[in-house]
Amino acid sequence: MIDSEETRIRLIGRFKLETAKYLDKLKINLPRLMIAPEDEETTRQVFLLAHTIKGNVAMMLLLDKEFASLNPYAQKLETAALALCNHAQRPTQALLNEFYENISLLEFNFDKVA
Amino acid sequence: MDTIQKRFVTQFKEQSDTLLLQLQQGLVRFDRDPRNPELLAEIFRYAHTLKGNANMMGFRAIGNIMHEVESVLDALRKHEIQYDIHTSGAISEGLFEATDMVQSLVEGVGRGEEADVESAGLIQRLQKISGQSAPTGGETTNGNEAIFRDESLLPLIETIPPPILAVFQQKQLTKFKEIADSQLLQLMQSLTRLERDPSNAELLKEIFRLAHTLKGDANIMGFQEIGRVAHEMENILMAIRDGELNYTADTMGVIAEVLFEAVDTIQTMVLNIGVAGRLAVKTGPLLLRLKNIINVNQSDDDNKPSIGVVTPPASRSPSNPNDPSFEPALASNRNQTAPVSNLFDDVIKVSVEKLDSLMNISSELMLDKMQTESTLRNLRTLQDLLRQRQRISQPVRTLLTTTDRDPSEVITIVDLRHNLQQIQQFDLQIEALIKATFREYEEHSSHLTATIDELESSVLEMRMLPLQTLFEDLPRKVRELVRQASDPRARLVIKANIEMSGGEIELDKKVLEEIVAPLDHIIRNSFAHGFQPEPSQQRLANGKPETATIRVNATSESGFVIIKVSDDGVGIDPDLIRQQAVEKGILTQAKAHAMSEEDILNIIFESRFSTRRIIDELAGRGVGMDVVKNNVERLNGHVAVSSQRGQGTTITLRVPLTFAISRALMVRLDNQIFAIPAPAIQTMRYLTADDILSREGRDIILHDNTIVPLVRLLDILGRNKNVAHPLFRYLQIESGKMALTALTPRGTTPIMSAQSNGGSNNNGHSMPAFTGLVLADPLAQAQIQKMKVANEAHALRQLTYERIPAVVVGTGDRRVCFIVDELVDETEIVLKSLNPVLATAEYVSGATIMGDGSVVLILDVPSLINAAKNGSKTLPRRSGRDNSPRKRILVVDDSITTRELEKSILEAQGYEIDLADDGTFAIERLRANNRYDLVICDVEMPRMDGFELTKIIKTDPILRSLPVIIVSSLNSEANKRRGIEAGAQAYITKGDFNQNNLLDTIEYLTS
Repeated sequence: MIDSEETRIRLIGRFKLETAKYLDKLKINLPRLMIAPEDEETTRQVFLLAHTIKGNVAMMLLLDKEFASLNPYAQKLETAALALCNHAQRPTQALLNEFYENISLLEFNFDKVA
Repeated sequence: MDTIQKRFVTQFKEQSDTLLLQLQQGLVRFDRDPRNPELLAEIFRYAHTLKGNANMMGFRAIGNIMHEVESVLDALRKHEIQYDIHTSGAISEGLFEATDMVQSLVEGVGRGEEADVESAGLIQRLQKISGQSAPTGGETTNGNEAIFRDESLLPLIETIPPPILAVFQQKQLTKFKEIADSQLLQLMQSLTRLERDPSNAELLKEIFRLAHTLKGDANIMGFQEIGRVAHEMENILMAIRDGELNYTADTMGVIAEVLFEAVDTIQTMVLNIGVAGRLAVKTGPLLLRLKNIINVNQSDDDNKPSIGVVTPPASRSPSNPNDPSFEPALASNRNQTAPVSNLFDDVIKVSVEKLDSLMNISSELMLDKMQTESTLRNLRTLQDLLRQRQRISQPVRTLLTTTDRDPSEVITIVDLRHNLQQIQQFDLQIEALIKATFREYEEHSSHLTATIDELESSVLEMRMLPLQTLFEDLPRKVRELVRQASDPRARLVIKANIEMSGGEIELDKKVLEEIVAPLDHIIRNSFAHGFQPEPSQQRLANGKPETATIRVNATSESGFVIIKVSDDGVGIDPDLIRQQAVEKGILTQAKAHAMSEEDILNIIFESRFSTRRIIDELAGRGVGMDVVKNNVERLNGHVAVSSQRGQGTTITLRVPLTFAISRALMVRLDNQIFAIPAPAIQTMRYLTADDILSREGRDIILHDNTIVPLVRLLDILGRNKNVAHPLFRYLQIESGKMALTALTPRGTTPIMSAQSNGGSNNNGHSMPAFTGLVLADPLAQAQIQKMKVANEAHALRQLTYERIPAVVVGTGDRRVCFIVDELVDETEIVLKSLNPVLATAEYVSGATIMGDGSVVLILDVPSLINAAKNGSKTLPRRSGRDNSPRKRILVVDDSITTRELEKSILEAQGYEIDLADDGTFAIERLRANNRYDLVICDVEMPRMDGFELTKIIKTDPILRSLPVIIVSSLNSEANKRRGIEAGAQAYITKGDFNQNNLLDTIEYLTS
């Protein structure tokens, strides 16, 4: 078990930095999909970012159950990204809005849990 | 080809196949009984019908060949040509060749290929036989040569199209090898009999005939070397027959020796056919020796060898090194010599009688099929009756469900009565039909059960071969051992004989294969330890017959064969065994002296034990008797030794007749059933706490007043955790079920489940929450649970049962008492071979399918005993909590958060952690530094994902034993299965597990 407060702070800091970076990358990639909806590389990139964010949130639950509040948004991000990746959905404006909404909710809740 | 044509062609092929078979069988019978006119007429009829059918269908090539066959048979029928010693070979070969070629053509027709074969060569030869110019044998002693070798065979082969020629040649080759094997076997047996009865003229004739036929066949096939050796054998046999060569007690040792060598050499050449592409045996020295037999015998009577049943080859003394017959080439040939029998072939010859029996059973099954259809018809009728009943009872049902209306509006009482009467009639009909169907089904079921039992026993019977198959080769081995054990220069003369009985007992082919090596080693030991210390002269001085005897006696006893191999040598000296066992560190001085004579004799089965100081061809490496014990135990058999100093030794093997079907004890271990073969079980017991004693830090029980180690069976099976877990995948493949439930008995909580939230299993034992974790090893979760208990105190002391179920297995000092969870049942099982995926699994010898369709693994008792004897009782502890070196783990994840988090968790537990951010980097690290105890990896990573990384690790010869845990947020069943199939030992879903699960799994996999 991680008992050291110092380690906890360090790990949460890492998580925040990494997730913020990934969310930024998502924000860059999403508009590209509107221009080139068939761009497989961008679609894959969006999925990997969402998947990693979700994985990180899940791992942070090991540290603190409070991170559970981030889980639904991370999950929704990944589900939407997977639908794009599997061609189950096209990158419509409505879908992108869903992405942005969940990104905003994640950012908002970040500050609360951290 | 239209449908009608196809049907005619199929019919023609089927009829032709039958006619050809009848024709070939008739020809074989005719060869034995050439004076039988009815038989000849019958054969003629088959040929004639086949010709007619072929011509009608327009298959002229077949018709033409059959026409010539018909002509030959007609000529024989009319006595225009003779079927005698000079002509029979050529005629029968010509006819058989014709049937073979027609067979190839018919097969071509069946495949829809052009049946256009140039058969002019064959036709020409058949024409020559049929009369007009039948071979008289006057030109040559071998009619075969006249027809086949010199004139027509090559032109014939050249005219056959290559694809058909290849099939034809292969068939001929296979046939030749089969026939030659059989002839060589007969030759070997007859030569052995001739040694005992040298004046038997009939036997000599038989041997001559065999050698002659072998020569002819070999020459036809173009194997001139075989022909030459057989020809020289023929010369010797002819000289004996004609009185030009004395075959008496004085001379037969040397003559028989060379003849046996010739048979051995031919056997080697026949075996090499098709393997090396050449005969690959130098026959020059042997041919000279064969020739010399006649020359020496005729010119030099002084060189007569000594008398003996089987004597060492005095004539091969190196005192005459210039004689080419004494070159060591043959000795090397001998080393190449394989057993005469075809025991190790994958093919079993099945008698027509046994096939007929199988056909009868299949007819019975047809009857069962018809009965099933009848039952089905009854059920359909029942269904109809019920429907009609429902229809008729509709007004009544309406009445019953109507509450708000006057019943009289719905149905009158008269109608109601009528309606009920009808329903009653239907009920009677339905009842009668159900009763009849029951009776019919019961009869059918009992018939089906009996038929299936019969089918099973018939199929098993086909796997059975007589012990004689193995015995046949023993005289040759004894001859060889006589040669090896004797040294004429040192005046060491060994004479030995072998007597065998019980050869008619039939054993499963696999069992026979397993006892070849033990018998070989036992006989070898008789020479090395029984006969060599007491040469012939010494035996005479000791009042024994000059010729030593090995007796192999087999008897059957309730599903087992008891093979006793006795020799009348010097016996085993127990004091020498004691001394050697202490010298080699196998026993302590005190223990050696405390052991009984009977127990001390069993030391001979220990690996590396030998009383011989010198290693030679015969013995001294200390592996032979170890092989005997291991092979016999692998068959769930038993081996025992008894000996009388100065009188001889007896080794007794007790092995099951078959292990395709066996009885087994079903035991339960952590909700899984395992089978322990009954022959390996000494006893079953329920132990109490008072039964469990302690000796030198180990738990033991006393059984038959001897100390038997006590081991929890699950502790051993649990050690099998770091392998690639073939068990899991095997059962997954076999059952086609989801990995998570493949091993779970019906109605119980899955052992490993991503959905399991803990609780209790059927035994009421508390199970921890294993949320989000899938383990590849079916025993892993239970094992982790056990490990936790064991970490707190000695596991056995934790037992709270009043009576502990246990099984004592093994024999002698190799007995172990295994604790199990439950003794379930003793039952008959059918052994199924292991799927190759499972072949690497430790402690498992096979599998069986139970009545409910579940797969039960059969435990390999010898390997479990070894593990129990070698295993340590120290149970694993978490890394960093004792003084053992820290376990090293490589964490592979592209997310820095996950990497750092896992690192922090694991370092807090004392593990040493290295990090890699993708699969490619991880592989580089692992290959550069192979000191890791475990890999934890993500799936989605750049460059190389976690599945690929796992696969590479599991296929790398150095890294494959490294346990892998996949930790991913990909939580679909497909991904989990993919991870386990890639070779991961566990798949953990991020967010669905707690730290304890991860840590317990890591500890389990690294311990």
